[in-house]
Amino acid sequence: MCTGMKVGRLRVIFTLPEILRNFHTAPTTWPSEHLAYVEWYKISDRPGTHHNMYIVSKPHPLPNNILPGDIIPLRAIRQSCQLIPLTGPNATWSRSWTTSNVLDECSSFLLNNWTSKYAYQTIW
Amino acid sequence: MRIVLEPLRDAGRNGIEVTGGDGFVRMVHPIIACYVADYPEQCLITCSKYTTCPKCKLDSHDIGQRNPGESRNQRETIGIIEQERRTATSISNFQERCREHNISGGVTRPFWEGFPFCDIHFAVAPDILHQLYQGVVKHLIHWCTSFMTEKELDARIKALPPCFGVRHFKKGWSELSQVSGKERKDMARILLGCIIGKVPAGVITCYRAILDFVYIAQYPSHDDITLNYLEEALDLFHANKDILLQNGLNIREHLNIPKFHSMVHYTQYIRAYGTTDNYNTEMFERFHIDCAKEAWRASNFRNEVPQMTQWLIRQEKVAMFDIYLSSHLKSEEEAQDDETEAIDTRDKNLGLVISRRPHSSNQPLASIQIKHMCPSFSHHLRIFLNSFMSRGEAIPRQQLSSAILPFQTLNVWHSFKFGLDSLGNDVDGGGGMDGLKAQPGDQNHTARFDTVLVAHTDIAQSTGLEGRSIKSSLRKTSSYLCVQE
Repeated sequence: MCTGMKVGRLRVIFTLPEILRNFHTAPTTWPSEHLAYVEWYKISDRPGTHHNMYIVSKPHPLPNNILPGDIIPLRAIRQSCQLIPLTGPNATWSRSWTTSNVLDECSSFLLNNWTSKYAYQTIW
Repeated sequence: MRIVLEPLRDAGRNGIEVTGGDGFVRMVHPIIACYVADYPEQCLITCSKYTTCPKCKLDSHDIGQRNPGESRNQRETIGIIEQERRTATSISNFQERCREHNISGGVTRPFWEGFPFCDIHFAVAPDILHQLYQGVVKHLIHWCTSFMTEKELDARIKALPPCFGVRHFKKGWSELSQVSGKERKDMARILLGCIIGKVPAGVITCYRAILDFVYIAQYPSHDDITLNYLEEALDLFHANKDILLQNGLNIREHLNIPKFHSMVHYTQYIRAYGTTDNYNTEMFERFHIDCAKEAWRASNFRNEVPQMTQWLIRQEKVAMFDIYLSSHLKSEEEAQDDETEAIDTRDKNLGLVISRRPHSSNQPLASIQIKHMCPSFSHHLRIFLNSFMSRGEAIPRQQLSSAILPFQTLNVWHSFKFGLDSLGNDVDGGGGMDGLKAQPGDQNHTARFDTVLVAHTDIAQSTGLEGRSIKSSLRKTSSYLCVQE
């Protein structure tokens, strides 16, 4: 199932302007709907044997320090997901981690498929 | 109970006429098919000895095993009670003799005696709320303390990233006094993730197998395949459960827990009576709040029963009059409006719900990149816009980084909600909605950027986006992204 899915972090929700600089109208080919900018994370090919959850990790930046990402239509987003920090066996979680910074501080996560019955049925 | 159900006994035999919702009158034979109760009450009504199973004949020290025992049978139960009553020398002697047959001697004339087509042992229903969440999951959570200190578990729970629909326990679990069913569900959502790394792999497998069972048991529809998953989850647990009994872990000496045992009966029961939402006590617990707690609060706490019943009667009258009024006032025209409205809301549920106005308009790109912590945003914006250029005009990739964007500001939203592409049912309540935030931090809010799942195929489709409808074309431009001279 997760082979057809990508995990990412939603950074910006926006629309393209209708009027450009110099009072030009935006081209008709531009999408008028809401767009999202998402930074991609890497997801393991198969879930872990024991816990059956996918492992998600942050990617290395491309050359020029560019992070992998894409502009996608907002409706392409299928669902929210929760990432749980993953540390090695018997490691303690860093004390500096809080609910608001853990996604920035930690680099490896588990994709939590127990967040809702919907998630349980769709992530496997 | 016997008195309450007395009128149904004859009705079951001879039938009564009942008017259906479609206006037709049918002959109905009501029977006792299903009895929803928690474990102590199940034992009471089926006359089963406490710590044994109300459904099968296993002894209390055997109920930890994988397979159910021979089914109990109402006629045998009655037979034993009758026989022991005749031969017993005293009440305590009678109870003792009954207990040898795993029957409690508390009741001598069970209410279900003489009801047509009734087998009380088969009628007691499994119960997601009490058996699985407040029973099995409760044990799982309790055992966590054998693996890590409460403090550490609390710290982990506090550090979890936020997610729509997942409760964030600000103070962790140890400070919760009485855990409600809803809280228990919220705990189950994050339980497995929080213990990984601290617990032997075998225990993880056990926990996962049980959680699998709990979630699959709640599917709103079942077939042979899903029921097979349910059995497999149970098999997996029983194949790995021995690790829970190891001395080193100090969790438990045995797993002969009636609520764990109840899991072996789920498949059989779902086959007989349908999915578990038909007989979950959650709904009745809700009634308990409406009908008992609210009524209690409305009384002056003295001689409360008459006051409470009076209050309920009045509430019902008001509710009925409300319905009457609204249906009376509604003209046919309005009824039609209703229909179209219903369709509209359904469409809305499937799509996006986002505020009409942007949360912050005309944000300079540079400031978006800083506030939203996304240094590569404009790079990807250039690539995206370039994809809309016709073939000859598209800018080569190498030069793209120096391309000037045709605008400097963007309208930005901070959150939206959307309907989940439903699986044909609202599995979680809440109208099948999901919500996401991409909110920069300020004095009042901490920054929050949610993680999302995106379908691969949709990105490929993005080239086929709907075009913009033009209101008035001021001046047509073909080239809007240009390379810096």
